[in-house]
Amino acid sequence: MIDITLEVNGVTKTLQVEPRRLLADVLREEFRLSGVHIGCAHGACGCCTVHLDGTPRLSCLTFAAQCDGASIRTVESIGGPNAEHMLQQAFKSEHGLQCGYCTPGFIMTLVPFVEEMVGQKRMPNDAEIREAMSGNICRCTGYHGIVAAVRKAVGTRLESGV
Amino acid sequence: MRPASFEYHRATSLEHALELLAEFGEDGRPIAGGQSLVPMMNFRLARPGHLVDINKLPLNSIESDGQMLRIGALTRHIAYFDNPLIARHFPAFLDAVHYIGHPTIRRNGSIGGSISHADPTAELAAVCVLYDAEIIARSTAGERRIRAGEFFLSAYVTALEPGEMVVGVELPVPPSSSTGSFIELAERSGDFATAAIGVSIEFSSGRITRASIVCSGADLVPIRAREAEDFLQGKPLDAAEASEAARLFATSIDPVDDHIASADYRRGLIGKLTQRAIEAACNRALDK
Amino acid sequence: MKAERPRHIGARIQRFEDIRLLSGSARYIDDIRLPDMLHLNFVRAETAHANILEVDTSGLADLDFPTWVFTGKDTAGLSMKAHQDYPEMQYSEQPLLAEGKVRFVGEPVAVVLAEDAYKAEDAAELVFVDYDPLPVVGNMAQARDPESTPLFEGWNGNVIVQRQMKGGDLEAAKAQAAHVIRRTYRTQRQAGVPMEGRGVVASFDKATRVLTVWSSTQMPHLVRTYISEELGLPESRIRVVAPDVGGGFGVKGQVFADEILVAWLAMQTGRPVKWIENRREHLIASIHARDHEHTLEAYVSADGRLLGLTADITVDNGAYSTYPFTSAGEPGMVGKVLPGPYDFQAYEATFRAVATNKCAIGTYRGVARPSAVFSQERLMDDIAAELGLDPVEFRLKNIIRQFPYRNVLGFTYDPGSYAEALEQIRELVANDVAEAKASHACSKTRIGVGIACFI
Repeated sequence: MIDITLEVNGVTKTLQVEPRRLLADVLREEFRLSGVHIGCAHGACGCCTVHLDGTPRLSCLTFAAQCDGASIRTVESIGGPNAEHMLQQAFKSEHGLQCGYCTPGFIMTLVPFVEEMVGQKRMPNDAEIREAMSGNICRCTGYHGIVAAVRKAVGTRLESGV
Repeated sequence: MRPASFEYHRATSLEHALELLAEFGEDGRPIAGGQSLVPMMNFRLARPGHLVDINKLPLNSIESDGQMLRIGALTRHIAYFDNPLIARHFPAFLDAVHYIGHPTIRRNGSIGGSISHADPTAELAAVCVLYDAEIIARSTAGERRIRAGEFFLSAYVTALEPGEMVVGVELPVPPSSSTGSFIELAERSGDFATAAIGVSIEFSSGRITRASIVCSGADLVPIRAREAEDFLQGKPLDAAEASEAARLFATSIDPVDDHIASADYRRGLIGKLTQRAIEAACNRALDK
Repeated sequence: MKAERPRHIGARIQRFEDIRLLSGSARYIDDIRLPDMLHLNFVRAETAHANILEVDTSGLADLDFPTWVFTGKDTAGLSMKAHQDYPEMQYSEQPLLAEGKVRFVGEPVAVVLAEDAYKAEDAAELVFVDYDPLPVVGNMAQARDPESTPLFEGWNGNVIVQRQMKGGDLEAAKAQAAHVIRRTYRTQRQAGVPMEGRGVVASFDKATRVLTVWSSTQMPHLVRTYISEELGLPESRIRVVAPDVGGGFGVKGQVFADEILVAWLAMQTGRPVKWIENRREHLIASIHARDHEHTLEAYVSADGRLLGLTADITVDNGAYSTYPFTSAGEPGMVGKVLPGPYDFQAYEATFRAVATNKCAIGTYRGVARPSAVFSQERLMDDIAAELGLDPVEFRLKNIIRQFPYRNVLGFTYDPGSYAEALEQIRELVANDVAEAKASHACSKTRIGVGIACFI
């Protein structure tokens, strides 16, 4: 067993874990964050995407033990219990989700991408959006609604100048 | 699909890492991004008794003295995208990186991890063989430099000895009158390649002075297309000879039959990709 | 009086559930957590067809944590019974855990339970199964060979069921035909792969004698019915909950042996039991679909009218019949669907399901119809090509125009705008078709336009 301190969604906790415990499992169990989903456990589907020190990371390919001292964010910290982040609102209005299982992974992957585009003050083209989300698989929507949601989110931000 | 138990060690310095790896021998593995290793561990296909976390080591760098490009083992794949050296002198390298996995994998995977894992179709393994890279390995016994052509021995097997780890890769910098390209075909974008071809061509006064061609998918390791390389020597830089060079290579290989593709299909595919990669490299140079 | 227009048809309506799903507040099967819960790991067959000589669980005794292990001996007699009372159908059951033999790679042979999911996987690795291999029945042709090793004792060959449906005067149609077009079409075996795999949690409350089962299912009521019948509990004391489900597509539209098994284990151990399917298990051992071969023979008049159709349909069913639709369901559906939207009154379909040493076939997105319509529409294109007719023209010649229409099998079709819709489609894709035709002169890039109709 190994002692680690994780800051997750702003809350710091020290805990003891077996080295082999996946970060995804520790976030789901010890931190009760059911928004982290496991779709494949081998890095192919993106469902388990979280932010590790600000960067998207597959939590099924990360051992919690490696994250001692790190700052982690999951979908629960994006927009709160009412999903108020504008990308989440865009997913809702553009029908970018159906069963919702892949959705947290997409949100965590795409939030930084939206920020990047807003920072560059431009609307990405379709190919760029699809490349940015190419590590996340959805079996329900056919992706059109997700691409539309990204456009909506970037568009809204560019328009409002924020 | 969860890993077997192991002991975890955090290396605080390179020397510390090497001491630990020496102690654990065959039962110890370094872990960086884990993008190749952890899937194998989750499937329990890899069961190292000890993992040495090397993420804090200062091995994340891309430097050049004009002659040699030196890349630290912990350099993440996205680092190449806005590196002017790579863009200018190693176009095939940059092309290849676009094919690696998907964005999150590229943010976290490292060159050291990728080539140590030695998947038969790992893009960076092919790139190392293409550019005649030298792989720099360290152990408590010291440094060892291994030429890329001798580093990859078989699928998932490298020339690294127990206790050794990759600390960097050195590639000779091609001259400014050079060009290149890398094309890959996979069943799905980001998937393991069915086949890939990388090309690096040096030229002078409109003629090819040196051609280097690497192929993934013909064998269990990346191989060079020597017949095609020799054929292109001295030819004009206008892609007219691309199809003949490709034919020479395709007829020389003996690819496998598997559930993804028949040997015949692979041979045909490799011939086509070789032709297109040579054409793309030539056109790139002519457009400049 | 002014006719009322429906308010919501055509309107953009927002969903109720999105806030929960987007904020990470949804509750899927793996989010169900109960005190004292045990985690289940399956020991699955690694060979396609074999007698089980021995299941050795002695390795578990050396572990320093508690485990519970069960094999087919413990669950003897408990099974999925999915049978249609047709005289032609050979009877089989799927044991909850393999009894005496395994019939496909992935078939559950034993279960190991532990208090932690990682440890359950460690313990499962210590179970060793000794197999005596049997000849593998690997494809339709092998299954149809009367000499193939029967998958079930007492069986005659491996055709599970073969039946016929027919209507009209096929002999007359054959006699009148100026053209006979015969083709064989094949669709490949697929896995459904919802982003969330399957999973089951069960808990038996000793105080109230109520069994609660959570399952990532599309059929909670049928799951309850089957558990009631198999475990002898009244339905009024069983509660089955489908939580948030991460995709089903029909894959989760069967009642599975493991649902009954997890319920039984909860009652046996006195503790809640959880099983979460991993991706490898899903691909190998949940349910497959669309493994079909159809041989169709069309009888066509000189002026391009379809007079009659013969169909020979084989479904590679895999080893077991699934509940509730049974092995007879899929091939029967093809037979029913093949006449499609076309006007002809002579038809004979012979359809069969064969048993092979593979995962069972079940419902998935369209349920037999994707394969059936593929064959039907490929045939229409092939007939048109053979006759030198435009594929849309050929369909317009044969599409049903008079309603209500009683089809060759006796089904009544309500009024529809079949011909009008087809004509509208033709207009809408006119430019695409012209572009496609023009591209045929180009050697590098050719464009095709496909049109399909189905009921």
